[in-house]
Amino acid sequence: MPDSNFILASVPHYPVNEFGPAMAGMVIGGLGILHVFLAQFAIGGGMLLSYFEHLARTGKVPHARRFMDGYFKVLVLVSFVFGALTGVGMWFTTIQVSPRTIGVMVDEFHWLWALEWTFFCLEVITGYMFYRYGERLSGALRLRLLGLYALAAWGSLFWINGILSWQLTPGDWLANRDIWAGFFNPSFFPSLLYRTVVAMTIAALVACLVINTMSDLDRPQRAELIHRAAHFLAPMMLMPVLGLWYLATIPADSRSWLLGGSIAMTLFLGLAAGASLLIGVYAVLGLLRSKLYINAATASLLVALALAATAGGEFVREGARKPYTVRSVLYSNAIAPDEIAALRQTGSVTADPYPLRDPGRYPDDALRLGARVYRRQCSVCHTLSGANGLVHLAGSWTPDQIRLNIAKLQHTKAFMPPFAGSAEEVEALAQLVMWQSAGAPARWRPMPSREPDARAAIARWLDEAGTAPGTAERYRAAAEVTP
Amino acid sequence: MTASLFDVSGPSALYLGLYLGTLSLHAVLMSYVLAGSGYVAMATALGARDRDPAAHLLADWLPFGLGVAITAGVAPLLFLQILYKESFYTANLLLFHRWMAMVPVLIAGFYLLYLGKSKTAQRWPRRARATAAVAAFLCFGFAAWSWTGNHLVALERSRWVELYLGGGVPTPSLAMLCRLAMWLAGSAPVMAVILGWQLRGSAQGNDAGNGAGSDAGSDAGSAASSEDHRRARRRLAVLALAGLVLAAGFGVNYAYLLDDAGRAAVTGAAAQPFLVPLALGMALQAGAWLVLARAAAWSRPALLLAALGAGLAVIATALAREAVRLAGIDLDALARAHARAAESGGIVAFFVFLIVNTALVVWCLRATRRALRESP
Repeated sequence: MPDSNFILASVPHYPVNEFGPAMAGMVIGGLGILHVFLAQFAIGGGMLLSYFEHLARTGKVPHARRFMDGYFKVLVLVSFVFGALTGVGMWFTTIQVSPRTIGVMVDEFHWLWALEWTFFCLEVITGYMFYRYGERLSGALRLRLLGLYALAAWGSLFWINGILSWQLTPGDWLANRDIWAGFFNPSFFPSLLYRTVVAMTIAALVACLVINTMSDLDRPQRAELIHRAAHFLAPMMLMPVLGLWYLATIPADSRSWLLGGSIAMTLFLGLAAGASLLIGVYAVLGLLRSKLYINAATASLLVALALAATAGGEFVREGARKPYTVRSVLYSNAIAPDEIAALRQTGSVTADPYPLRDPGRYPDDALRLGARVYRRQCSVCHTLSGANGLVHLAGSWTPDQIRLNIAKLQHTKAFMPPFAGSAEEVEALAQLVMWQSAGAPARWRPMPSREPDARAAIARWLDEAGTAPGTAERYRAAAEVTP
Repeated sequence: MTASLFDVSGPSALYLGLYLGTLSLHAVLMSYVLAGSGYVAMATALGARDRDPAAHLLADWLPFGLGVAITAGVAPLLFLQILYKESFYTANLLLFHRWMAMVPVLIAGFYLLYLGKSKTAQRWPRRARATAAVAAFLCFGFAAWSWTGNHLVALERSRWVELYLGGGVPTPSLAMLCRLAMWLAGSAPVMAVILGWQLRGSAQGNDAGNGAGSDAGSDAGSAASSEDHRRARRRLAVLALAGLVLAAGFGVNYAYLLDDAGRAAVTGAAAQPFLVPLALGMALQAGAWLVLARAAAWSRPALLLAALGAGLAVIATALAREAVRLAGIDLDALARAHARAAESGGIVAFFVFLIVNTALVVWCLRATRRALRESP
């Protein structure tokens, strides 16, 4: 475990907002899926347009330019506008969900983020020059502008991919804090190549949709354009290999969540793989081999499948990081591994300056303490009784089972972080779960424990759990040294 | 310990310099969009848009202007997080819904700008066009309002708990309104000088705005008569001069509404390094626009002076903004955080790619310009 103090100088307490029945992660997930889909469309779109410009210049597809003008308008109106602003929205949403995580990422990678910004600038300028003046430019200059646009768009993927993949597989950065070791981390290349193939796929599918809207082209012309666009679907054949490569690079515990350890993550992985498989089979057998014509309805369906695959893939990417947001540096609730021992002594909310907004809702001080502990440690991934609600997860447990499972949280579920508070806070949180499960009555008599001294029992359970993460790594490590 | 702007050194100074530089660039582009959309809204509502080459040019270029403004805004947003992480994040969190609403509102504003330049919208009745144009301006006004609120909340650490308990939406204060009014008024002369250059280009027949991406009215700037240009020049001069006077008035009012430390930071002796350039910048702009209002054509020297003045004023205002902020925060604590952040690598790569990509942008603009000149 690395000493995280070098990047986490102090434990800031930020105000926490509630997202109603939706958990905070769902908000960033929803926006993230949309943004990633549009950004990848922009990246693949640049490549596709460069290819079509080449086809037009060489005379292989004379009507390619008519398609390009229509396609570029879609690219500008959808990607430049929606994609760019959802990108800013991602930053704002990440701050809402986990300001400390984004703070650590900015501290470590701000020069590379600033570098990515220079690619954004190049992308916007080249893209708009082509959009505005493309009709009046020579073929050579058009191709250069498009080539630069595609390079800039892919360059932005290159840089952000290193930062995002670092969150799950920081690699040697953990030991030496070398930015390049963190950037070119173990999952960098499989992730980059996989995303590049996805970008080409989305661009080709949207192209099929746009071609079908072009009523000034006759059917053979549209068929030829679709056939050419389908060439961008061929790299999908690499997806299974790239996916397996990616799986091989991620930590063993993360891999185990995806392959059955967490049924939600397994199902989302299945959704991503299944949707990609459907698109891939149709692309290879139908479009590339049999050269079938694809109408607007089918193209729309395939685009929807690509969106579903993106949604599944992004959920898996986010989920595989559990129980961390930055592996071995910050847990999902933005508490660092090194801080847990101290927080077990002082309590996790003792220094939190923000009182509850609705203290009158709770019948007693213990429940108010429980509500503050829930807000600090649980609310980023859970609600009380909405999505991923504590009531649904723990409401049927016996009182002592709740206490035990919270105290030994990382062993209850290995993708949960260790509980980072005092025995009193465990008791308060357990009472909150029981009170909420009882329908949040106006009066509450604390549920007793069968243990003679509940606090002492909780303290013992906390000690037994320790402060290390609860992955099966320790068993594997033990097995390796046991003769 | 609080500090004056010119006490900042080491990594803090590097990040502050990059922040101020990129913020100034963003402020110029943001001013173009904010004041420009207001101008188009007014011209459309008054039914003067069809005869006004300035309104035509703005409607044509505003979507691109907004795209570049948002892209340029990414860099200061990044450096802001390094400089003032806790206060910026806390302000984001306290403003919550209203802050997050800015993204969909800006998306709506973006599409309204595209709608405003479309051929479809040209066929609409004036009232419908005016509604769309005013709605676009209100979207950008909302973004300005949100940023003003965010900035002021970030400065008011002592009120954070109170704001959290109150649901995070602060009651608009006189200081907030003055500050917002100062930025709104100050955006007019900045927009006017950019638009002045564009109008000069179109008057010389150099505007090449009838490509694939330009829809209705894109070449109206060059099609306008010299009388239309003269009227537009006078209108812009009046707008710029009024903006300068109002921005100065609201700025002085805002300074007197600041707490003692903040006021001292922008009125004391330590403020001279940016107050003098600010005054000079405003004087240059005022003089240039007085000349342009009476001139028979767009004078290049006058426009250069106005641009120089606007640049000075924007940078000086950005410096004053940070001077007020630094007067109220513990710089020592921040300096330690900045020094830690500066230990991370990648700075050489950033500057290398900054140079390479800037060169590519310049090449792209020059090559396109040359090709357009040579095209029939």
